[in-house]
Amino acid sequence: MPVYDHRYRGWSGERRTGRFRIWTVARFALGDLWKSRLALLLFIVALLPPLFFAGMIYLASNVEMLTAVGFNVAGEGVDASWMAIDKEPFFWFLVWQSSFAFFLSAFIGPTLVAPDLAHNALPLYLSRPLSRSDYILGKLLVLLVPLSAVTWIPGLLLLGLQTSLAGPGWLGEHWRLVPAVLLGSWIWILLLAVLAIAISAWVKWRPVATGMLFGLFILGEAFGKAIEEIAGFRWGKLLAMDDVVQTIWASLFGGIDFLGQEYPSNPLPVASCWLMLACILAAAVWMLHRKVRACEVSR
Amino acid sequence: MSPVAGAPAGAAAPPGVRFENVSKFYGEVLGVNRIDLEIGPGITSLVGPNGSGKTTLMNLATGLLTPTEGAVSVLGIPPSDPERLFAAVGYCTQFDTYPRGVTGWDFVHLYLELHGLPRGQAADGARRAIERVGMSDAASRRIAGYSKGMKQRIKLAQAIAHDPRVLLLDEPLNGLDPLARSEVIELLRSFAADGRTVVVSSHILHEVDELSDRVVLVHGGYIVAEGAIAGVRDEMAAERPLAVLVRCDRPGALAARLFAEDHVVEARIDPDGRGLLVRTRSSEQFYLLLNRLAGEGLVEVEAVVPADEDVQAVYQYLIGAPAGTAS
Amino acid sequence: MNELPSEPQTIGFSRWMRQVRAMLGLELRKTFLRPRALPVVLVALLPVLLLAVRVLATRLEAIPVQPAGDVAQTYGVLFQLFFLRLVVFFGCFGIFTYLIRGEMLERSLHFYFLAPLRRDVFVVGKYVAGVVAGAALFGISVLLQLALCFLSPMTEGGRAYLLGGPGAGQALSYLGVTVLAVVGYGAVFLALGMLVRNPMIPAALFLGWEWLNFLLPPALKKISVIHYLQSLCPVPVPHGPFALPAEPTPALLSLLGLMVFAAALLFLASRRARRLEVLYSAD
Repeated sequence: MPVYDHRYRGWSGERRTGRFRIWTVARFALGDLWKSRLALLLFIVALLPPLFFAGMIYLASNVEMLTAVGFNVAGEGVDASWMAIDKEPFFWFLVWQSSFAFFLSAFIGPTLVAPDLAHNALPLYLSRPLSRSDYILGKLLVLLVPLSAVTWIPGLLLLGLQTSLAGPGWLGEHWRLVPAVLLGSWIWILLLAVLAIAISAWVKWRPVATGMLFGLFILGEAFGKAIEEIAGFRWGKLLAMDDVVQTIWASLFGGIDFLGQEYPSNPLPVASCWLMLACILAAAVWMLHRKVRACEVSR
Repeated sequence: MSPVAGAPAGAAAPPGVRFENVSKFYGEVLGVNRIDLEIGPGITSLVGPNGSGKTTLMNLATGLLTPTEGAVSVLGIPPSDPERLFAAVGYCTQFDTYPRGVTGWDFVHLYLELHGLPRGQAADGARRAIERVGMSDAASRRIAGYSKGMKQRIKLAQAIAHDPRVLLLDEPLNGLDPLARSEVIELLRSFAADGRTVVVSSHILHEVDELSDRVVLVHGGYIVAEGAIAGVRDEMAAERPLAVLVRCDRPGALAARLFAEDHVVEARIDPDGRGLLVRTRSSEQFYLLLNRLAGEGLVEVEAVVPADEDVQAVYQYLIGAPAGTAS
Repeated sequence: MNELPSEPQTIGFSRWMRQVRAMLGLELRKTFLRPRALPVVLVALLPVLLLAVRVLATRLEAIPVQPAGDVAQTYGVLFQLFFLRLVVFFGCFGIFTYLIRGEMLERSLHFYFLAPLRRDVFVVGKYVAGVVAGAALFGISVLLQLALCFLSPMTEGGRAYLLGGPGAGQALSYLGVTVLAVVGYGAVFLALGMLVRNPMIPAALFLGWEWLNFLLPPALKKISVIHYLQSLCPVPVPHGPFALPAEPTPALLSLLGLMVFAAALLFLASRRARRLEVLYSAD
């Protein structure tokens, strides 16, 4: 059919109302997301550690079986407590998965808003019955879905596995792990998602946005450590987002012991870490407020 | 049809823009296919619907695209030699984007500096070009804040600033108000009058008619017709009879006489009884006959007007689009 | 009509220089003197901020005043491990990958491609603009760092060390190494920006390679930018118990090696530029 014979046709599909509109934004972006082989590969690799942890939990609950097949994990001078499943394995699970969540957000996040801005697509979105917050929430959902799938969802499943193997008494004793895993994961994935989207809105080119996210975390970490070493100023660690979040996690888990020492070492007060997180989130929201607009003003 | 669109008859035409068996594919998508075309001095318009290949042809001529097959040259210079090519060619693109943050003045002045001109000479050239397009007052403002028409004019200033011998203009009249439009048309005419080559793509067909010496009709990546409008129209007359309106005192008698001729397929009397619309397969035979009948005193002819010998009609017949929908 | 010559100006080196100068002016204005350069400026100033905090801590007597020799050693560590490996690396990534890819993203590449400008000259002009901006930015950062180290109250005898002792030579070396780092990393990122649509993945691998350079055997160490930069640094620094030691490359060889490396990458980028098409819809 020649181009000039095409005619505009009104929307004939289902009309979603209220907050469901954000699913429309998210659904299409999620569809695009899995077209990237790199994102898919990263996502699959991120699901392997939970399998490893599940195996560990299973073996720890079956010490007799290990002994029967010749592994001397308990008895005759060997203390089986090193295999006991308590808060530490779940804390390290979270630390491990947080790296995957970071890589996923670094590669997915910048693909979400930057192309829309670069191609002037925002006026198209925002001229529909879709507010700026709907748009941002829709884009956030795109990140939150895969990030949840590699953090708190497998975390809770692992807790369920451990409870089923060790009995409900274990969960009663370790009830604190449920909110710790859930809240700890959400703190991290929300921070990553909001930052990734804010940077993506600020820097229109995807690779530079990814580079900025890497730079923010790597340079922040290095600067925090350097300022502590060179200037003896421990508050510099507030710029190391890993340290900030792990300090909060440790408090949620009720303190973490690593090789007989407190982890993270020489931590900052937890309240200061919460305050820092709030500041970072506020800055990211401000960036989104400035940049996600239907028009750009040229002066 | 003339082998060189726009070449004055009898003159040794310079090569102008030359496409030799040029094809361009974007992956598996056809841009243009097997184009053999030469465009000489004068104003030549490229006309065709969206995606027909007009911009692709211009981008190929200026090296923004590389042909998949074939060769392109402008004044004998291949696009792979930008130093010589752009000293002689000005291209006003369809792209409405500019280096970030530049003013209209910067845009033209920097372009001339990139020609290697000393700063003072570049400034003189920029001032003259900006004056010619009537943008002197707005030149110090950032282009990002310009209206569509102002952007169009500053692009034109950049394209003509170095006084090129070949001027390529992709939709140059878009967004211009009527006054600016007629000024631009005058400017292009003055360029063509100097013996330069001006190639314009436009979707405003009546302006193409008014502006061009020659047209090149492009459709689906192919050239479907080229040459002077009247010549192209004549070649189509067998399939699409030519319509001529004859204003005369006795249209009924003229109609009766014309029906005896094989080449006349229709003759319809105007409702006011003072005119006759004739459709003929041979304009030459028709005009000879009309002269004879007038000489014999059968009718007194007031006016003879070709009714569909314009680019709109040609376009509509060849490409099938309703007139005015091309772009 | 205008009275400009429609025939090409004399084509040659002097014309190319004028063109590069014109590009330099435009690029410095539109890319580096605008708010978008702020992240790179902030990154360049991180070590200055760090040393300013140290000066403050000394003033507040939280840290004792140190002799100039010790401060020079501390600065050597800061320069090599933080400034060169991270600050200049990320700064150059921000500056150079955007130089040409940015034009494609902003759909303004045709401004240059429609001028009588050889594509090679275009690449060189962009690179020179990046090097000038990067060298100025990081050079000023180094000068501020050295001033804070040796001209502030945190160092005992710092002024004499910097102005009359070995400090002057070291300062020049640090400046030179900084410029060379911009030359080397700049060429890498400019070429990546031209050759790869998403340069982030190769850049991340390159960062890993540069970062783990101290663990590599001597032969592999030489396939990096950081090895040659470290060879030119005036104060050697320890790289920890796992580092595999290697003899530093002689200064002249390091200098030449980096120049040749940068030239080779520019050549590759130019070849790519010659075949580049303006297809904005594809980016």
